[in-house]
Amino acid sequence: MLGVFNEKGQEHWLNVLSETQTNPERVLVNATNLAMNEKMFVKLPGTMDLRPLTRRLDLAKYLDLVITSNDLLPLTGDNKFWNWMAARWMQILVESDPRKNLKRKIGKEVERWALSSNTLNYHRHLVSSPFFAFVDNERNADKAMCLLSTPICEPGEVVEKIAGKKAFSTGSVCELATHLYYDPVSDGIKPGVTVPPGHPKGFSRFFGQLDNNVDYQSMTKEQLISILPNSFDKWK
Amino acid sequence: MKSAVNLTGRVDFPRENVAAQVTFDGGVQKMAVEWDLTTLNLPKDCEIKLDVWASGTYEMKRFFLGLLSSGKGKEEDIDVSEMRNSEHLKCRFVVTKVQSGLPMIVAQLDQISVSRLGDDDDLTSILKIVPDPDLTSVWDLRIVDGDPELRIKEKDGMSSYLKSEAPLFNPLVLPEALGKVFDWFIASDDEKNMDSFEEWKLVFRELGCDEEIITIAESDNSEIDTDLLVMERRKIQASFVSRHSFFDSIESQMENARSAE
Repeated sequence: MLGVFNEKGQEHWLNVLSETQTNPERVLVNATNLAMNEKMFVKLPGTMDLRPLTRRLDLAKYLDLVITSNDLLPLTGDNKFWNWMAARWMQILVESDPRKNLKRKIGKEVERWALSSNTLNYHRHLVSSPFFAFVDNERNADKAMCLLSTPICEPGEVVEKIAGKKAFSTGSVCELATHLYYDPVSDGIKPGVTVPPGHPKGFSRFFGQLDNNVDYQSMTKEQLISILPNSFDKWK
Repeated sequence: MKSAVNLTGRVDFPRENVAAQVTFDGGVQKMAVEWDLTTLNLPKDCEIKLDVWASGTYEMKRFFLGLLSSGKGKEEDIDVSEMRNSEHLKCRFVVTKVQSGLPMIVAQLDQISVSRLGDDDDLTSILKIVPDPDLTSVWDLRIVDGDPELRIKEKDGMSSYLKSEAPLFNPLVLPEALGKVFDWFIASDDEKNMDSFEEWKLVFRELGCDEEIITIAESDNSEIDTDLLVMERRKIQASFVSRHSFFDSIESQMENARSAE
């Protein structure tokens, strides 16, 4: 089944999420019940299986398959669609996370599961963010592994800093961040990348300073590497 | 207070120099872009690029619009049919020139709103207008559930007359109502519906509001230079009045009144 919340469903979803830290068990049950309550959403044509996925890349690829095969791409700009998706997926994603602490797995920030029109937090949505990172990097995961290699419920600092700004989240800048922070051998984020200097926060700060003066989005990954300051040498 | 220093002499050119509109041509969604950089005296070997993105998603495409060689105003139809969220498009117009091996931005205009054919760009399409029989003045701007509302006195159809028929009501009231919305937008302690806040952010950007002011509004910063805000408020009101040709409208009313005498 596939769906998109109606106004009432959207409102109820935010109410459900208000209990993430006080009654997380109930949040999981209520999320599933809400996503299945036909008074709360509009049914869409097509089907989707829930799978015990743990990695952002796997979720991104699967959602891309579901969305494209059911001609739902025009709905991917609709918050209510992603919020229904989040409600439907929440239980299985949280239960697939091997960590013990349920509150941590769900997280306290509502924006992990609810999209609003506040685009500043858009990248934090655990269900839509991997999809956009994959699709908007031309479905070339090799260039976007900095955004796709981490666990779904624990995206990490690299995702926060790189996906948090549109200019970094696609194209050669994203490819550069992947080159710096992703280790293709271990197929994960390199250990120690969050420690300065050369950390994702420094990356964000460096390119943020160039924003208005250098058209870095038109540069290739190699050109970008050549202008990086020495503080990034250990990750080059 | 934070201030921006423009060390490279980059030109942030006027908003009226670029216009973008989504159209449908034989069922294909296109974006018509027009620009005029003739007054900026930019080097002719500059490259012109257009970033188009869907507001609220990662979706972004870059289009190369050619070299600034002719010095004339230009227009181009861009195929945006492959963009998933074409209802929410925004643009950034960038003019670059390679200097010391780097593509330096010599001129730009960011946050360009893309209109759609049939869009209603009237302020009344975003500002709620509510008849209010209990109002003791002709109109008032109230914040209700974090959302600005223009209340108009209702008495025997008065609100409907003022809103739709009274020729001077809009030119005289809407700019001041907009100013009051700006006060709400910038105030750190006022209740705000974030959806509404985001919509008004777009409106103020479109009216030329300084990005620094928008950053202040987003940051809940209570230490604000009052003089700066007053100037910005006036600038936005002036831009709004100019865009809707309110002076022309008032002059026309005056002429009608004179000729009737």
